Amino acid sequence: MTKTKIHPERTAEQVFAEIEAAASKACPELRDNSDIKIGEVIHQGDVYLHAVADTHPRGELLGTRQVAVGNTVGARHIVEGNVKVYAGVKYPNWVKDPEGSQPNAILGPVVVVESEAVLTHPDHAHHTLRVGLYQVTYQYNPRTMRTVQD
Amino acid sequence: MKYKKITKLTPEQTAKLAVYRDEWIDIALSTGRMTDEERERCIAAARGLYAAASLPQPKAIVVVPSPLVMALAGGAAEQWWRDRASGAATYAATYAATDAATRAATRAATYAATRAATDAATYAATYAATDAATDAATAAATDAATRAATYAATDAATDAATRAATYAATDAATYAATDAATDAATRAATEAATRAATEAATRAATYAATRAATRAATRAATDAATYAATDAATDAATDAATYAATYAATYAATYAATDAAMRAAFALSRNWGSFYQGGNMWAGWCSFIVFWRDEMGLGLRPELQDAYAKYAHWEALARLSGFRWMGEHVCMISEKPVRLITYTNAAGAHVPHCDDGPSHLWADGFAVYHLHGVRVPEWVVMQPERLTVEVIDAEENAEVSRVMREKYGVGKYLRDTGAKVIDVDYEGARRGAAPRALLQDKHGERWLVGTDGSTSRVYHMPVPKTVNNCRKAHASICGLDESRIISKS
Repeated sequence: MTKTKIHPERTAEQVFAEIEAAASKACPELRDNSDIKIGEVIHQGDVYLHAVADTHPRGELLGTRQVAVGNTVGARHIVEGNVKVYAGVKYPNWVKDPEGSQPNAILGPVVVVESEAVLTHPDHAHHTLRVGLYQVTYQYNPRTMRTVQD
Repeated sequence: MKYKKITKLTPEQTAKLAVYRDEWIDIALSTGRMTDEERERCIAAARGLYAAASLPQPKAIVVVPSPLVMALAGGAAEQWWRDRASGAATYAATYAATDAATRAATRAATYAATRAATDAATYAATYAATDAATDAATAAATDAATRAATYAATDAATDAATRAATYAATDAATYAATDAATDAATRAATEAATRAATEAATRAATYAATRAATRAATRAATDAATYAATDAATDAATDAATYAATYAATYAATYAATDAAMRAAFALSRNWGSFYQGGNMWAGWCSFIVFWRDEMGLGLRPELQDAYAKYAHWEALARLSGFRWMGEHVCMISEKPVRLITYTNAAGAHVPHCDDGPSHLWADGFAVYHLHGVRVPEWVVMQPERLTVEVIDAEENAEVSRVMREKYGVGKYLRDTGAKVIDVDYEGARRGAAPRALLQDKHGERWLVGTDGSTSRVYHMPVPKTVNNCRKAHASICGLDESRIISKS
């Protein structure tokens, strides 16, 4: 295990107070990502949308616009607009499987935005998506060995 | 016959393997009660398994509603049949032990109790009765004797003295004195003589009469009172002592005999894990065997026909039923649960989990509770308000302790226990950046704590124990270098 340096000058209580203060000033406004480039990532909750090249592989067309798994409110990461959602096939080359997970454990679908679209969610701020391909990945919980679901 | 050795499955065979796997996963996760016809098929299959193993058929094969009934009733029934087999010796030994113990205990207890009770009761009763009777008898006898003696003595003494004094006085007065002299002389003489004579006679008579009367009266009264009191006290004391001694001895002997039998019975129940077979829950091997039998041609080999015929009983039970107890004397087959809640994790495992109820529920109400695959007591799920830092820290099972912390609230736990701060920074996303920290709880588990920049929520994400800063912690759960993130929410 890596040797760890403890911050003796900070207490957990102080850290929580700082994070909560920042959380209370959260900005729910729409995130404009019109300048996103290939290789950059949008992060919404436990979902990551990676801007990928048009040649990025994709599987069969899925009959959904929801890009997260599940039927809870937290899973409603939905792409609105002129989009198509396909099964994911592989990660972008800058993503690797979390340690201890099965291959493609955090792989999600591919979103093809054919004209301007928005990634929405009931709680999280929305994101604009410019035309192009986006590979979706998820967060991983190393304790439960499953993708995170909010 | 010579067979070709298989070193690798073809793509078609590999694809088929998944079909068999999925079929048996469905069987493992299936729920619901059996029909009567299915129960009969299970019983027949169980008989087939005993026969396949060349074992005698059990005395009873029963389909029960849950594994709990299977374990408890299976253990007790198996022990009962074992005891019955060695019944005479057990009965004789138990009888002799009980008899000897009862006899010895009764004798000792009765003797001690009777003696103590009789002593106390007799003393008390005799004292009270004798005292009262003696008082009464003495008073009555003394009164009567004194009165009679006094009267007789007084009468006799008075009569004699009067007679003598009168004679003398009269004689003297006749001769020498007048009426006055006679009066004075008579009075003086009579008074002295009467007093002396009366006093002596009274004393003697009273003493004699009182002594005799008192003795007789006291004896009679004491005898009667003592007898009555002793008899009643002895009866009561003996009854009480005998009852107490018999009860204690019988209880002790019965408890000892019963306790041993119950311990033996439930020792089997406690060890049910050594006896049971998993039924539909042991689906992994079934899928593999069935795949090779049906898909890879092993089922066609003549030399394997007998083995597969025997295996068919096992397979039938696996398809239809849950856990089973296959004892020497008793076979108990549990039904499947009526409710089973799981999720599939990233490794493809079906993990039992339910946040607000049992993960497994059988028709008779027996239930077990799981959080993320970890079996927990019912109250952890149904009454999480009972969770405290003390309760969590006292839990010896590391996995149970971990899910308790999550149920308690990781953030609350981290604060309440003064987690160590490993690292603090600002996430570098261009839009929506926010402070975050890597904390370590007192169990060594590490958590990335932060917010998303668009809601007011604070998240506590479990991360590997090996990471030592926030960036690496984030990378460990998302699989990418976060410098690529341009906006977040």
